[in-house]
Amino acid sequence: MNTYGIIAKFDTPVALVHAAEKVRNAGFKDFDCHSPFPIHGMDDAMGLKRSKLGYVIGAMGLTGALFGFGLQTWIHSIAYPMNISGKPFFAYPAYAIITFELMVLFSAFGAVFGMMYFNRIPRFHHPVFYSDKFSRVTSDAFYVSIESSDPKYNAQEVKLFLKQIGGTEIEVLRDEN
Amino acid sequence: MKLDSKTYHYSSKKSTNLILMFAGAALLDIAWFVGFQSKEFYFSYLTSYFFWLSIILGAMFFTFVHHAFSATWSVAIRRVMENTLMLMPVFTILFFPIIAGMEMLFKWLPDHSYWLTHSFEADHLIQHKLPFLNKQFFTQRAVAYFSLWNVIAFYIYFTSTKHDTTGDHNALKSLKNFTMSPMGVLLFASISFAGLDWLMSLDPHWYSTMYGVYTFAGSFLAFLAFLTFTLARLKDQGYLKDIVSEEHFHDLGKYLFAFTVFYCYIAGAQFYFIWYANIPEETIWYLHRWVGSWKTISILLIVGKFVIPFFILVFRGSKRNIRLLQFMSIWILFMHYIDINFIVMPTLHHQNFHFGIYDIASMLGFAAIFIGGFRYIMSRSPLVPVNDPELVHSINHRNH
Repeated sequence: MNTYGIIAKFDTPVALVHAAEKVRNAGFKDFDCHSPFPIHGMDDAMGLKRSKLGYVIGAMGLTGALFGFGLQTWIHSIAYPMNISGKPFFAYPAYAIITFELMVLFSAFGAVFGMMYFNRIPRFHHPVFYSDKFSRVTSDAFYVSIESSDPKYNAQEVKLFLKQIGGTEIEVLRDEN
Repeated sequence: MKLDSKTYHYSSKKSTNLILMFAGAALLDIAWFVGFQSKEFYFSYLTSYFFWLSIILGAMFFTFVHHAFSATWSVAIRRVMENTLMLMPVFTILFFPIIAGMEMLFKWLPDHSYWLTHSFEADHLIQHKLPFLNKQFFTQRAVAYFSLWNVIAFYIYFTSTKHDTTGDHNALKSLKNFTMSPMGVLLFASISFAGLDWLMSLDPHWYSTMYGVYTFAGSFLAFLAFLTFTLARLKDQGYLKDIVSEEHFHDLGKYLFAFTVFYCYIAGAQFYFIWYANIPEETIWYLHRWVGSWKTISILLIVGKFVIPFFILVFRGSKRNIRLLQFMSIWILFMHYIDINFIVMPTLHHQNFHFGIYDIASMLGFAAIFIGGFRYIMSRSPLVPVNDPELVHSINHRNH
């Protein structure tokens, strides 16, 4: 049986933040924290880097703006040139609005789909749900999971380590396959 | 948290500041004396005057927002905003040359030199606007704006500084009530109408429904740049060391970025409406600004006031870099001056951008008065509201 990793329960958000700091300081990379609500300071405690999503949105926004401007230039000056109240065919001030709107649209696509890519969703099942007690994480429990893919992973040591830092109800979880 | 008000005191020689203010006033006086009969002086004076006044008006708006929303993050920097307000009485006095030179500035007055060769009565559009644009009502409106702005400045400043000594938290409640009251509406309306009166009416045939917001957008952006610059400067001099941190600058950077975009949005919208409609009375305003070197200035505004700040300030790293932010705030203030020059000056210099001796004199004069006065006011009270219960939260403010 493949193991997914080990989870341990903590009782309070503060305990979870401290646990995350200790796990990070112990040198683990593939670990995660689960809580019923977002906790301020958790990103720092887990040592997470800033999301790259902003750059994806920026690139998509620029693409959208160029696309919008190019599309209108092509339509109004090449494909279907039309005389509208005597203005020149390449009437670029008029393009600003569609350019802006397509920039917003592409940025929104970039934000939503980029977020889904980075968060690896949609995903219909996750090994942590093999634990029967884990469902309490949506109400009043706080969990740390250390995954077996971590280079420092060793089932016995991790179990002991999680116990040391105050985790309870420690469980070894099997993987999906 | 209790802070000793002496620790946060800005020390500045009273005599130096007063000399600076008098030197500025003397320079303006000499320029006025020399250019008494010259239109150039009055237009230069109006440009510089509005540039510095807009910083105070922006400060007024920011103080209102701060108190009305009981903002926490800006408590540590709120005294700098309140200090800026207290320049209002000085700028009230400095408005007199504009009243005195009305005939030089405003074409809607029958005494304007343009009407020596043209018939005032035959100008239907101006005749139509006379109930609003006439000497008496114009002066009354100016009196109304300045009364309102002085009431706001004095009330906010003295309620806030009294709180430093008494520590009675009802002061904060009164400030909140004051800023939540219709005063906010009046402030907004007065900023808009001041823009209409003093800048838009320079070309009485022309009108733009976006103009009030345009004035506001420019003013607020200018004040944000001034605030960022001042705080960076104070930090350089060793003040506010453990009070104002990178986090506050990050937020100011966000504000600068947002209002760079807002300004562009308003200025752009104003242009598009007029460009689409293509009505001669409206398009002429932009046509005047698209000839000779004014065309260069117009392009400079688009690039310098929007494109460059946008692509620099969009990154998180540059908002947290105090040196870069300080440079950007000087840049934005410079572009704001160009913007006001672009609004005012083409009325006088139809063909080309012109920067003459009167522009330099009035710019230096106002700068001396503003900086001298501001330093003097800063030294009169602690640099942070020492008794504000939210101060500790503001100091520990973090961006997530």
